[in-house]
Amino acid sequence: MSTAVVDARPQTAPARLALVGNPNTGKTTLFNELCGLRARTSNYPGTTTAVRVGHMPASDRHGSVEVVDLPGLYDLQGSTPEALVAANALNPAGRLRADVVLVVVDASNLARNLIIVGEVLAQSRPVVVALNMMDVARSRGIGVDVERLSQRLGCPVVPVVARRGEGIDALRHAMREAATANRVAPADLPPAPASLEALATWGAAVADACSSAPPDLTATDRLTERLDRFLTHPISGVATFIAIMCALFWTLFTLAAVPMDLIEALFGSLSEALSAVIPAGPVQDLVTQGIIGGLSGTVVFLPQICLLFFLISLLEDTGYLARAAFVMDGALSRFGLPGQSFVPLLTAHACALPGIMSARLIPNERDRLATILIAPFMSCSARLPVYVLLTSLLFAGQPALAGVAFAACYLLGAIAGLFTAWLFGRTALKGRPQPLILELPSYRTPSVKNALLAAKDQGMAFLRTAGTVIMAICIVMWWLSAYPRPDVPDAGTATVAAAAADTGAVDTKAAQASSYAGQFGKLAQPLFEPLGFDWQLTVGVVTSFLAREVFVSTMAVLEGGAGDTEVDEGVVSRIRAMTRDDGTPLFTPATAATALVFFVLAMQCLPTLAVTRKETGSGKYAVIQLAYMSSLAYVLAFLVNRGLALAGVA
Amino acid sequence: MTLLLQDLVVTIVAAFAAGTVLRRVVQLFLPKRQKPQPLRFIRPSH
Repeated sequence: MSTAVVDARPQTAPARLALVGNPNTGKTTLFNELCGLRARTSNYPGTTTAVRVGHMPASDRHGSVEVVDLPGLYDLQGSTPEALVAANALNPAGRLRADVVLVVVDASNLARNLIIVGEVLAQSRPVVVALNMMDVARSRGIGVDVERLSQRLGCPVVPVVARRGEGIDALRHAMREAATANRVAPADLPPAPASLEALATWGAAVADACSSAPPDLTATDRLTERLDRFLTHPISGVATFIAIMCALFWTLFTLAAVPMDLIEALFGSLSEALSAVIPAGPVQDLVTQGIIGGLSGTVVFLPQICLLFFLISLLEDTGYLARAAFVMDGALSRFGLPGQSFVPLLTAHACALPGIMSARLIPNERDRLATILIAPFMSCSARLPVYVLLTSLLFAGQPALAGVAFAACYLLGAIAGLFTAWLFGRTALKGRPQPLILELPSYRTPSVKNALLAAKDQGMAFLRTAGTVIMAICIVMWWLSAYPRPDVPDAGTATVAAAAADTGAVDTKAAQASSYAGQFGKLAQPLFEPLGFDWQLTVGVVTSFLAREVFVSTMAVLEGGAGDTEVDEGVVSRIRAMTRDDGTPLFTPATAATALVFFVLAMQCLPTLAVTRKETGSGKYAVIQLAYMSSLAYVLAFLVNRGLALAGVA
Repeated sequence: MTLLLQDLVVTIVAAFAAGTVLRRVVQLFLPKRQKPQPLRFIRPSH
């Protein structure tokens, strides 16, 4: 029946092209070459499996071809979400049904790659084989007889070097031809459903007949082996790993500082310019404090996100990340995590959103879930302003101690995350640990184009997910702390300037206390009374459950300032001077330490919860994350508060 | 613009922002309905 479908194709270009192949065969690089900047990444409907979809021009008459980059697989017989999505794309009745299948094959590792080729060929649909990494094969002394391979497989085989864009035109041509041509499965192909052993035997026979392997290890092989011995060694491997990570963080914070300062300066200038244009009053406050403040508070993190993914993509392309995962596997496995968790957990130190999204790299579902659940424990960039504020309040005039407390926050978050992984591994996620099976790909020169595309993809995803929500929260918080407006004499007819002057005369603190935010804080305050928080801190803590960086601006708004999101000495001094209703200081050392512990551990980020739900495919895990992290934060913050009280610290 | 009118404008904007936040909160617990992907063309059946 499916053969009839193929034969019935009109003389037209294919509508949908699916890319399949083993991991590390340069599939995504080839996809980028075919689609350029027109690609987007989305989850396959109803699953958490990432599928990249792009378009490439077919011909003038037929518009564009949809190209689907399926997850990397060694064969189609697994039951992982990735295998099911690929199977769906190859199924004539599937939702992602492909009209032409492009199998990307590593020319330097032909026999193993032919297993999935055999499975696809058995599907009786147009197939083209892209023989990628021809340059690597040549450098290793491996020769491939392309003509003969094409005859054995019964489908077009096109040699390409995707990284350099070689052979792409020939590949496009072959795909157009294949879409309308009849194809007969190889006579010697084991009949479907074939076992992996039978397919492997067939693949080895075809590879033997069509390629010539070098008699001995080449210079490249020997260099790879030597590098691997060094980079995966228990001592030199770990030392190199630490050095590379330090360099990565240093680059991240140093290079990102320049565009971050620029963004802040741009928004500052914009705010000043708008203040000059818009007359003083509520509209000006809304624009400068709510909208501009919200936008700058989000966009300022964009350079870090883009740069991090750019650097990680470069590292991944070189083949080093697989070695890093191998090195980290020993340490992380003690806590029930695989080595691959390392990248998402590292990324989560910039922002939990891309950290959770990069957990897609982890093939095992249980390991992926454990990583997603603990990723928000890692201290993200959004916590930085809060840490700066609270450590400065805790150790006023003692920068060295403040620095130690700052580092301790990072350590506490990481320890809490690893403890949680250990705990969940023995309870909720028990019984499904998977050993690390990892292919160490060949070392390659990284592709800057791939890295730029990864940075663009993640940057856009960050702006879409976080931008709208954080800005909206800032606007709502500004409104809640500004209304109901204190009575102004003859407000209905007064000019804005006069009204603003009158408003300024009203006691700011009383106005804040009677605002909606103040009323809410007083209502919720009994819940945080055991932690020593008054209504103002309660408002700050509760609103930061939507996005934790809102805490600093909320406290500044409640203090009566301009809703600063940037922590400078002025903001710290003003917040330090805040008082409770009884006139005592709001931030005692005990209160600051308690709040610090709470902020390190609490799940205070709405976009993170949304991404957790999206990536796990279930709201259940978002609720577990929120409840577990916040309960742990509350209990530990309470213990710190009581402990300090017993120790006589006020 | 009178203060009252300004109050009205900023309140409408804040309500819109609150709606955005609420919608995101609701999305956390109510999964989005999956739209079936439309096929690009129908092949002739034999």
